[in-house]
Amino acid sequence: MGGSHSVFSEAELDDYQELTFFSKKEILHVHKRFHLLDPDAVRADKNARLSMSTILELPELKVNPFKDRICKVFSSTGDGSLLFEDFLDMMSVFSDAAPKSVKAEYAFQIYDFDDDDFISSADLREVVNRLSGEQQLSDTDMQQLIDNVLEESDLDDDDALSFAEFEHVISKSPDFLNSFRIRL
Amino acid sequence: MYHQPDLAPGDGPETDALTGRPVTRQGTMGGTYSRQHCHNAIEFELHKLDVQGDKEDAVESRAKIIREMPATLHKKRELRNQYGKRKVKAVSGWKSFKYNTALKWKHFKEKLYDVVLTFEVWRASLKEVEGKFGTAVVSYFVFLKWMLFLNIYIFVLMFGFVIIPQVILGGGYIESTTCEAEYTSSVDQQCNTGNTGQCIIDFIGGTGWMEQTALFYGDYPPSFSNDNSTDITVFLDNVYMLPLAYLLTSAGYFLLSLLLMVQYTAAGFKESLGNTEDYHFKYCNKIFAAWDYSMTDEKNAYLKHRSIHYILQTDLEEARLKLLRANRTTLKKCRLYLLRLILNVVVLAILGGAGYLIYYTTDLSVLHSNMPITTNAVGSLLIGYLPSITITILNGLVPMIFNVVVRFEDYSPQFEISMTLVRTVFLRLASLGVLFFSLFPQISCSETAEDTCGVCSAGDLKCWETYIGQEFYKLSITDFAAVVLVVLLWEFPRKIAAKYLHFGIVQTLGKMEFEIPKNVLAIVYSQALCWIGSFYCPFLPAISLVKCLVFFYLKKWSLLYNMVPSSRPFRASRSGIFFMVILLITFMGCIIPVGYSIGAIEPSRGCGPFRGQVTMWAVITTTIEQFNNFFEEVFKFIGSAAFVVPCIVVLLLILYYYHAIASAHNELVNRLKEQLIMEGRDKHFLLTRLHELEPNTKGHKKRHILPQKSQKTHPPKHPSQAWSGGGPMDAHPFSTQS
Repeated sequence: MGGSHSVFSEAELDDYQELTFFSKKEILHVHKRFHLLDPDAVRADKNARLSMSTILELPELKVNPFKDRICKVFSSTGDGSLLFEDFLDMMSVFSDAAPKSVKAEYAFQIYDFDDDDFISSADLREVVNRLSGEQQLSDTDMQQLIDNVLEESDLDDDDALSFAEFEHVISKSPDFLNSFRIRL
Repeated sequence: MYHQPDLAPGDGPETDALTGRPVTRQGTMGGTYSRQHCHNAIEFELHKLDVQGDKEDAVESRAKIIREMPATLHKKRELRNQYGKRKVKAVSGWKSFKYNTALKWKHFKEKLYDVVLTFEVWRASLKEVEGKFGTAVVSYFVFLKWMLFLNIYIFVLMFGFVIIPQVILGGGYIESTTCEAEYTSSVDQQCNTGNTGQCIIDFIGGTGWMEQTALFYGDYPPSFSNDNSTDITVFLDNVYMLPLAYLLTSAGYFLLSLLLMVQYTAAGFKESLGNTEDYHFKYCNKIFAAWDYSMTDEKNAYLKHRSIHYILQTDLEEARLKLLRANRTTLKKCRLYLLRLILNVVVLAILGGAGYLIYYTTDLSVLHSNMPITTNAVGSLLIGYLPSITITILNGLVPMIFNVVVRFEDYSPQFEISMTLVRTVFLRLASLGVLFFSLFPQISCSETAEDTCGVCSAGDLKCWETYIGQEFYKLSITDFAAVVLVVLLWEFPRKIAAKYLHFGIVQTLGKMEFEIPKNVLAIVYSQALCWIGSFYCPFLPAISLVKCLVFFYLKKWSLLYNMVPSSRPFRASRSGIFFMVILLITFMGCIIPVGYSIGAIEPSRGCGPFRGQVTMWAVITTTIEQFNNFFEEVFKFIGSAAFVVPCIVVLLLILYYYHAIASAHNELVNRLKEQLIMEGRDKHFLLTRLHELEPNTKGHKKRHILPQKSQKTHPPKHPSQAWSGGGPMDAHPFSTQS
């Protein structure tokens, strides 16, 4: 811890602590993990921008089926590359201390593959395909599943979930908080 | 309030002034849209910030709002600076202390949990099975693991309180009565004279030299000392009475088993009620909260994918079947019920036939042990094993018949399993019951014969408890051998044949599925043998323990190499509880014979710790009489009707009370579920109105329905639709559509 402590000044750590859900120690830990991804670049600039492929080396992201979406959502340039601040932001949202509303907000963005502010049937299809991995559901199964999901959550019959509908469903879900979490 | 997106200097793509994220983004699916609702959300929050002003906790609430905004860090910093950066005072001493302690405690608990997990036995195996075969199969293995631990506890009890004292101190007792001498002389001594073949046969059959080890009831003395023993032994004898210890330990292990079962069931209920089957957002939850983001291991991730796929498939299949069943016509239903009735009668007939067969073989075996039919040692052994072999064969064949029968009855997959399970339980319990019933005339007497050492006459069993112990010993071994042989000689060859020979029938034979009811019943049966038999054969828990261990690895091995996942997917999410209920029923069934033999049947005069007593229970009553009057009074009172009847009445009242509360809660749950659904609709309606009136708030917006879609005409399901076409707010100048 001693080494990275000198990377950030007290003021900067205070700053980050205010803006994220982390304590100072946790922020330093996050930076350490960030540093491990590409030590040279981070040593040169502590707020370096790392490409998406470098970020995806992180073990917690490597096996995640939505890893590219996560990077894209938190990236400030939209191409998946992350500054340290973006990375910190991401870990902050995924931490235990982040409230459900923030997580729901970002979960919605992650699952919205075509970025149109709605989770449509095509988005749902993509989500399910990514979740089931190598073995895909049959077409009838998939259609039945999507119909069921929309029936449960789509209140205005427009064949898509708006954020309000998504949030309504997620807030009632018992597993969401526990699953939408990364502990570094 | 509506800002135009402006360019941040020096940045490549345009960034939105509020979120800090690019204005237009190339989505993965190819569309490009700006994130309007985020925009609106943040505006709304900013408005809230303005309103805060300089209130007391305004700093904290402002900080909270900024922290929770869905914007980049950069933007959040700007916002914070814009709204005045107050000096963040360190949280005051007590609050900070409380917060830090709570955090440290949470981290400690998490670490502890991780440590405990590393000690969890067989965790990797269970995960592997779950990933490949689903939760139902893994519940069998979890059950088996639980049973292993139960057997460990029972064994420790018996070992510590009964076997160890006997091994250390038991040599001190010297036999003094004629019956004891008669019994000792009747024990087969061929092994001691050097006939090793006979030694092995004795080992397998539990006769001969085995009868006189600590393995069987008969070897235990009623006390450790005699008139000629040393003072220490006499002293120990007064302090630790073996008969009492024997009885109390047996009662103890029954009680322990009951407590553990009840605890497991209670814990399971909590879990199963938590995963409510009719949870309203079932499918949404299964998709959006399915993936555990903290997973890092690739292998686990692969298993999780398979698990998700399996669960989804199972649910959909079940829903489809349910629909099918609901659509049956009345005629079909009548035919179905008639068919079911006939099949149930058939099942009862089969059970009756099996019972008679067991009775016949047991009679034969007891007859032989008193008046040998053959003198051939191996033949003798076989006849001795005849009841066990019959029971085991019946237990293997009859469930197969049940399996076939139940397919004609067309129940839901879940109910099919329950039905087969219940029937097989009856079979197994009935077989043990018949065994006892056929032994019963041998071990009790209608008229008391005072001066013979056998049960009723001189030719009868001299030590019936050891005989029963031997029977259960043989049953245990047969059961073990049967399971192992079936796996090794039936399942593996089938698989190997399917692998190397490629014609049709061999291939279908090769596709074996793991039959959960059959396997669960096997371990329940094994446990029932342990419970009943441990009273007469104190080492039986150890044998049961070894069986559990071997079963686990053997079954797991066989499952992973020979079996394919079931083609008829079913989810038995409550199967853990169901198995435990079956186990409880079996347990109740086991207590009856043992309890009856303790309380009503006269113990053998020539062997065992209760020799000479009127009944085994008499030991307790005589011990109590030795206490001073107060305890005696207390026990007499507890035993009398004046205590028992009010006790029962009070218990019944309490039971009724809890039942009433439970049904009231059920009612409440149903009403709350309906309210949830209504609330969703209300919320949606209000948000739509809000959005139409004040378009820049974080409201709900409706997606443009493409022309083809709106072909379906149906009356609006809820109020919002009445407003979406041609309402007064449609042409509002500020209404934004992206």
